[in-house]
Amino acid sequence: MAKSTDEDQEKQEDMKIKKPITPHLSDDVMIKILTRLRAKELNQIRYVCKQWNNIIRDPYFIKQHSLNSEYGVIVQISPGDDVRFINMKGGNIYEYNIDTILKGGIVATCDGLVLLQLDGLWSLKFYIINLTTRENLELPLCSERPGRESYAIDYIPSRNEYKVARLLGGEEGDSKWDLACEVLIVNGCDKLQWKSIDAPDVDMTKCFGYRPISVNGVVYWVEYPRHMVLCLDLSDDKFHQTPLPKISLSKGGFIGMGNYLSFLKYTAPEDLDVWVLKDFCKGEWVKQQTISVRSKIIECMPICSFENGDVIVFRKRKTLWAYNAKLQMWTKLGNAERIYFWGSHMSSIVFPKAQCTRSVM
Amino acid sequence: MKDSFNPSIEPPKKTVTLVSSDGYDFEVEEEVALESQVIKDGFEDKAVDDREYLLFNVHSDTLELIIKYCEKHVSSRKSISAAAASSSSSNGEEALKEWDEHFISVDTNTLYDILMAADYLNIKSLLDLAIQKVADTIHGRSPEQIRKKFNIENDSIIDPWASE
Repeated sequence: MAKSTDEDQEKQEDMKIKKPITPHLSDDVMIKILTRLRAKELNQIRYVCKQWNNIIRDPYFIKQHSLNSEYGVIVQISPGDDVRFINMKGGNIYEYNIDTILKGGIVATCDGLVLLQLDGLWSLKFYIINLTTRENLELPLCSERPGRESYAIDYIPSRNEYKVARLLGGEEGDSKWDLACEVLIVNGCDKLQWKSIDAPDVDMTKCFGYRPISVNGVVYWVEYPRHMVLCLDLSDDKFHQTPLPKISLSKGGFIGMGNYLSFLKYTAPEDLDVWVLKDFCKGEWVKQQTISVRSKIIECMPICSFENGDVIVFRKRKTLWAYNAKLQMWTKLGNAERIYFWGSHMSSIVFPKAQCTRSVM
Repeated sequence: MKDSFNPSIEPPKKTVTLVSSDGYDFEVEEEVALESQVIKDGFEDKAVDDREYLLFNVHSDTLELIIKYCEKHVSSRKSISAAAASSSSSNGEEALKEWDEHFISVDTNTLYDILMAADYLNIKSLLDLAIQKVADTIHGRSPEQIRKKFNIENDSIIDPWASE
C-alpha cells in the first residue's frame, strides 16, 4: 500500500475546515438516510436546508417512509376528546394520547391524516389534521342541506392525491332525500373546493348508519337491505353498484384488507372465511382463504386490518383484539367501552396542505 | 478446517490495482476488490493483466479505509463459514458488528467521505453502515445543531410558522 495507515487518526473535527455535506450528497443517498428517521423528527429537521425539505415533502419519499412507520388504531371516546393511539408496530403494543389540536370529532382517517368535524353550531366546518406533524388544513364550508351525511378520506395511488368524499341523502322519519355527493382534492395544485359529482338514483338508507370503508382510492358504502355496495372510484369520481357476496351475511363483517373490500365470515367456531371483492365494476367476489383463528371469536366484529391483511383488529364487546394470521397469535389491545370513533392510523409525514408536488427522482 | 494435504499447488493470490483520485496505487486481492458491486459488474470483461481501476471520486485517505473494511469483511466471512462448517461455536458475527461500530466511529468529514465512496463503489453493507451512522447523528438534534455538525449552509427560506 502506498500510504501509511497511522498518520491520520487524530480527531480534529472542529478544527478542520469542513466541506459542506449536503450539496454533494445525492438525493438518492439522502433519501436513504432520511428514511431511517421517525416522522415526528423529519417534520423538525426539514428546516435544515432546501434539499432536505424538498425530499421530505416529496410524495414518493413520504410513501417510502410510511412503509416503516408506526401504525395502529386510534380511538376517540367522545367528540372533542384527545385520541388514544394504540401503536401495534412490531407486535409491541403501547399506547399514548394525541392532542387533536382542534376540539372536534373525528369522522374519517387515512394514513396519518384525520378528518375532524368541529363541535358546536358550525357543524359543517371540517379540518384535515396530520396528528404526527400537527399540520392542519381548514376545508371550505360545504353546502348545507337536509338529510344525513357520510364522510370518507382516501389516498388515490394513480393520482397521488388525497380526496375527501361526502355522501348526502338517506331518510329520517317520513322524509327521504335523493343521494348527492361532493368531493374535494386535498393536496392538489388547485384551490381547495368542493366539487359536486353525479350520484346514482338509488335508495340508500341504512348505509348512513355505518361508516363507509375506503381502500385503495375507492369508497364503499354497504347497503344491507338492498344487498348491494355503492362504490365510488375516487380516481374518476364515478359510482358503481355491486352486489354483496351471495352468502349469508350474518355472523361476519366488512373491512378493507390490503387493497380490497373484504367480508370476514365466521364459519366453524374457530374459522374465518375471507371473501374479497376483486373487481368492484364486475362485482366479482372471491373466497380468498380461510383463516384458522384458534379461538371462539363468534362475537367479534372486525374493524380494520394491517400488514396487507395479516393483522386484523377485532372488537369483542368492550375489548379490542388484534389477530396476527402469520404468527397465529391474539393480542389484547385495550378496553373500548364507549367509543365515538375508531380507525387505523400511522405516524406519517403526509402533508395536508395544498401544494404543487415536485419529484426528486 | 484448512485443506492441508497439498498446500503447494495453491495458485498465487490474484490481485487488482485500485488507483485513488490523487494518484496512489493500491494493490489488493481480487476477492477484496469484488466487495464492490461496481468492480464486480465489469470484472469478467476485463483482461487478466489489465485489472486496474481508476477511482476518480475516491481519495487515497478514504480508499485506504474502504480497503481495510473490505479485507476485514472478506476474512471474517471466511472464518464464520469455517466455524459453521466445523459446527464449532463462534461469536464471529457479533465480533464483526463490534468491529463495524468501531470502524464507523469517525469524525463527520471522514464519515461523509466513506458514505460517498461506498455509494460510488456500491458496497452495500458499508453504505448501510454509513447511512445508519449519519441517521444516528441526526437523531435528537435540532436543525441548527445539524447544520453545525454537518456544516450545511442554511439556504432554507422556510419559516415553520408561515403558511406555504
